[in-house]
This record gives sequence, structure tokens and C-alpha cells, in this order.
Amino acid sequence: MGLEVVNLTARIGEKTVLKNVSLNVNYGEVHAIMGPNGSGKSSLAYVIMGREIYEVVDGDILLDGESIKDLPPEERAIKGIFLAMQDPPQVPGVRLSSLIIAAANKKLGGEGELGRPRDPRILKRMMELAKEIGLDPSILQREVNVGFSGGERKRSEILQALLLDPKIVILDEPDSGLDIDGIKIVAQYINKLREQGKGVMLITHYARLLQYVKPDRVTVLIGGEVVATDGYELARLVEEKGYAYVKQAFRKGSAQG
Amino acid sequence: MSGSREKYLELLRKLPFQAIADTPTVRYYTDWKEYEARLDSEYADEPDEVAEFLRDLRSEANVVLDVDVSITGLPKGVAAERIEDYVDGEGLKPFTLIEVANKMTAYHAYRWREGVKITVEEGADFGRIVLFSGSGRDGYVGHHILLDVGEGAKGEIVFVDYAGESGGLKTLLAEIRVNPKAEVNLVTLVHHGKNKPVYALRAVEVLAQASVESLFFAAGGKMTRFQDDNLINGRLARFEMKASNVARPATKSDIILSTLHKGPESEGVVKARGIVIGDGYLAQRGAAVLYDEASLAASEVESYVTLLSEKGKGYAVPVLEIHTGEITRAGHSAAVASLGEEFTFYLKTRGLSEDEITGLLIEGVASFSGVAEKLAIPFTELIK
Ligand SMILES: Nc1ncnc2c1ncn2[C@@H]1O[C@H](COP(=O)(O)OP(=O)(O)O)[C@@H](O)[C@H]1O
Ligand SMILES: [Mg+2]
Repeated sequence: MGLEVVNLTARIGEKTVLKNVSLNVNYGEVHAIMGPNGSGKSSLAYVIMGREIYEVVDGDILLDGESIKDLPPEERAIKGIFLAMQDPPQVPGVRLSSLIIAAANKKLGGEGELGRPRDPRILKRMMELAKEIGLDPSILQREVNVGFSGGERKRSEILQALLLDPKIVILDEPDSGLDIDGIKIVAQYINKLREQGKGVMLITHYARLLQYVKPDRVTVLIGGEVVATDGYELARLVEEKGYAYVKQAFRKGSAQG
Repeated sequence: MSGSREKYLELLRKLPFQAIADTPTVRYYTDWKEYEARLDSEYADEPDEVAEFLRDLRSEANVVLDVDVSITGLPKGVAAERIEDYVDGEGLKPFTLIEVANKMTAYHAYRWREGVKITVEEGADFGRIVLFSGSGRDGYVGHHILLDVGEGAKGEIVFVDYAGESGGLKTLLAEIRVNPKAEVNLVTLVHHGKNKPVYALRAVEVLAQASVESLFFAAGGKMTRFQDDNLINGRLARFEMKASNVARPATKSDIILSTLHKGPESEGVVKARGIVIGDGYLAQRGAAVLYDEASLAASEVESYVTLLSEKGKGYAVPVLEIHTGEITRAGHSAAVASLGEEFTFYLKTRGLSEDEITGLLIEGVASFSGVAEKLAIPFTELIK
């Protein structure tokens, strides 16, 4: 159970960005995806989420054993996949609280105005949680990502992940642009998501964040291909020896084995 | 028509619509042809019908201008009188804060008929005044408003610039002086029909230690030009504005929201959000000018326009001019964003469909200024 990516090949325009990628994200686990810039990490996140500019050439994506490959992004979201984008865009005019209320309403289903909370408890919870993760609750009255600092953007995405109660959370470089205190807070809430039993796919370029979130599984992606999958040790190997070394070592490994 | 207006006829013939001509770097954001084609409109004989959602506000209004002027139930400390071209005595007179410097102001100066002067006594705590400038059926109306808020007075002014669905032409000039230490909440609703171009120019002068909080909503029509010049003219004067501008399909708006600082240590903030629906057109402009006298002034302009369709056009044009040596702060930011793939995808990842995204954006921008809420009008009525 959880998220299964099976032999996934996908392209954008002429470029094949994922080549026969297979991996699982299990509930209650953090699966770290590492790889150098341009290796296809964000593409993987987007394809799982159903971004329409990507074309799935082959393979499948399953949530709890059911294919979601042909669903539009919003239905994947409602089914319980949450993506925190690496660099989410500004949405002028729309308050963060309005977006959260609309998203929570969609998650709950049913009829009624999108702007009126179907479960009024969300109002209190968003205030409390914002404070907990070190955001000034007035951020909820501000427009989504407009004038947010790097740290505020990242935390606001984490806040939404916590509030919307997804099954699978995909975090695309939630640590980029954060100072060490910011990284610690983000890490704390990634651990919390795991404790809550969610499956977390944690995309990260550097191993720094992984000192605070010990992943259950690590996959290294290079050139759109999975070159290695292993436990936490793999992250340390990447940090100590670099991607080129890991690629070589595992190629040898698989040739021998 | 009195003889004193003859000089304006000459200016009307002589002056261009816009001082600087259309060049590759300077362009017309206002479609002047819409006005030009209607300059010889007859005066309207009867008022336009007022849209349902505005009828309550119109009947609540203390001052109504359409093809006539009516004044009712003014709060204590407020006086109003109908004016013709000439105003005796002290205080504001027509063209005190506005200069006749282009064809449309000259046209207005030559032809306006319905005028009112409202005076708020010094120190009055006047609650709320509602000013409703309507329009005439298939003809021209020209409205001229003078509003003088006395020193230390406090209250809310609701300013409606409405044009109904018939044809014709409307000009509206307003000159508002907020005297020292007065505190005014100015709530402006601009709503124009799809057949009548409207030329509006409002000058708001904010004097020493006075403060104005301006909430502004505009849904333009056939061609709406609304220029709001906020003259921050006294030491420690404060002006703060939040604006929502909506270009509905088949409408054109050129909205100019400016802060002109002459007061030392004055403060001005303009935050404008615009949205273009379908093939609408919106230029959302604003100049923040800090003149020589405005030492240690602080100014901020923010202008964002979102385009919902490829058929729409939107411009966010902020200008920041600093002529003073020392400033406390000056910032401006602007962006036009189309409902790009990334933007839409982001909102889809929150479970929203394309229609829901459009709805959320329109509601967000339309309610940004708080005008709809303040006037208890559902925003859906304003953007229909
Ligand atoms: N819109 C696009 N069109 C063509 N190629 C793209 C596009 N977006 C990304 N790519 C390419 O896809 C590859 C993977 O990019 P990405 O998934 O962003 O990598 P990462 O997140 O690991 O840095 C890169 O070679 C990148 O240049
Ligand atoms: Mg990336």
C-alpha cells in the first residue's frame, strides 16, 4: 500500500526525463530522492502529480494499488497526493486562508460554496498550526506567496500539507534557501508527517536535511534513471563521495551481481 | 451657458487628449476615440436606470447627481449646496486642485452642469456620507464635485461613480481636500455600463497630519478612464489605498492611481490588484512621485494584474519618480501574470478544477480592496 511508481518513462517535449523509473513510497516512511541538478527529480514529482505538460510514455502510477495515471492533477490531489513545489508561484489577490479553505472543502467533498469552510474547525487549526511551525498567523491573511520570504514559502507549503491531511506528501527541495533553523523546523514537521503515517517522498539535492530527517529509503536519480536504491547509508555515501562515485559503484555492483 | 466658459471652448479645440503623443515607448492606454466619437452628445434628459444591486445604496445616498442634483439627510456638521460654474466665498472652487490641461478636462469645464459642494465642519465626527454620481440616458452628463473636509473631522465617505447601460457620455471631476488632522475613510465604487464611455478625474489633497484610507473598486465599461491623483501635501500626511480592478469581457479600463508627495515625512501606499476576464482590457497604472519638498517621505506602489484568458489584455505600469534627496522608503513592484500552465497546475495540486481556479482568482481580486464587503454588495453582482 502507498504509492507505487512502476517502470515509468515520461517525456517533456522531445526530451525523455524519466527512464523506466520504479520506486515505492510506503505509509509511515520517508523515501528520499536524491540526484544532481537536472536529473529529473522535479519531473518525477510532476509526473506523479499529473502535470499535463509531461507525457507518460510507459509504465504506471498506483495509489493503494489503483492506477491514477490517467487522472487530472486535481483528482490526484483529492485522492490524497500533496505536492509542495520547489518554487510555488505567487497568486495575487487570493489569501492563503482562502486557498486553504477551498482546498480543504474539495478534500471533504460535497456541495456548497468553495469559500465557506465545510468544516469550520479548519479556521482554528490553521491559526494554531501556523504558529506552531513558526509562521506569524497574519500570513493567512496575506496573498498566497506574494512577498513571502523563501522560508515563508516553504513553511506555508508544509502548513498546507499538514492541514489537508493527504496520504502521500511529495516535498520538492523543501530545504532550499533555508538557514539551519529553518531546516530544523521543516525537518521536525517532515518527521511529524511520517509519524502520522503518511508516505513522504522527500526530494533533496543535498544530504544536509537528511541529518535531521533520517530517511527509511534513499533513491538516487541520475539522468532520469534510478542508479541506486538503499537505506539511509546511501545518503551518507552521496554526501561523502558524490554522485559520480555512487553511479560508478552501483553500476559495478549491479554488473557483478 | 455663462460667458466665463468661453475660454474653455478655446482650450477644448486646442488641447490634445493626452499631452505626450503615441510613440514606441509612450502609448495610449486610454482609447480616446471612444470619447471623441461622442463629444457632440446632447445633454441627457432623464437619468439612467440604476442596476438592482445599487438601488439601496442610491436611496441611502445623501447626494445624488444624475441629470439633476439632489441632497438629502446630511449628517450633522455636513452642508451641501448645488453649484454652478461659480462659487463664492472661501475654500474650494472648481479647478482648484485640477488643472484644465487636456481635451477631456476642457470638455468637462466647458459643458458640466450638475455640481455640488460639500463642506464638512471642522472637528465634525460625521459618520458616513454617501455620494452617488449616476448617469443620463443616452446623452451627456458632466458632474463636478467639491468636497472640503474640515480640520480634524472624521468619518467615512462613500463615493460611487456609476454609469448605466444606455449610450452617451459621462465626465466626472472631483476635488477633495482633506484638511489638517482630518481622518477620512474613502470607499470608492466605480461601475460602468458597456455602452457609455466615462472620463473621471479625481484629485484628493491630504494636508498636514491628515490621513486617508482609500478603498477602491472599479469594474469598467465601454471605456473607463479613472484617474485618481492623491496629493499628499502636508507634513506627516498619510495616504493608504487598496484597489481591486476588474475588466469584464468586452470592457476597457485605464485606471490610474497615483500618489504625489509634496509633504515632508509623508507616507503613501498603493496596493492594486487587477483581473482581466475574457477579452477585457485593463491598464492599471500608478505614479508615485516624491517631489523636492517631500524629504523623508515614504512611498510604496504595488500593482498586479492577472489575465484569465489569452484574449484579454492587461498592463501593470508603475512609475516611481524621486526628486528629493532624502527618502525614508520608496518601493514599487508590478507584474502581469497570465493564467500560465505552472500557475494553474499549482492550484490544481490543491484539488481545484479550472473553473474553480478562475472563480477563486476573481473573488480574490474583487474582494481584495474590501469595498464589496464594506458596502454589503456580493462581489458576484459587481462583476456580472
Ligand atoms: N519545460 C521543459 N522543457 C524541456 N526540458 C525540460 C523542461 N523542464 C525540465 N526539463 C529538463 O528535464 C530535465 C530534468 O529536470 P528537472 O526534473 O527539473 O530536474 P531536477 O529537479 O532534478 O533538477 C532537465 O534536463 C531539464 O533541463
Ligand atoms: Mg528540481
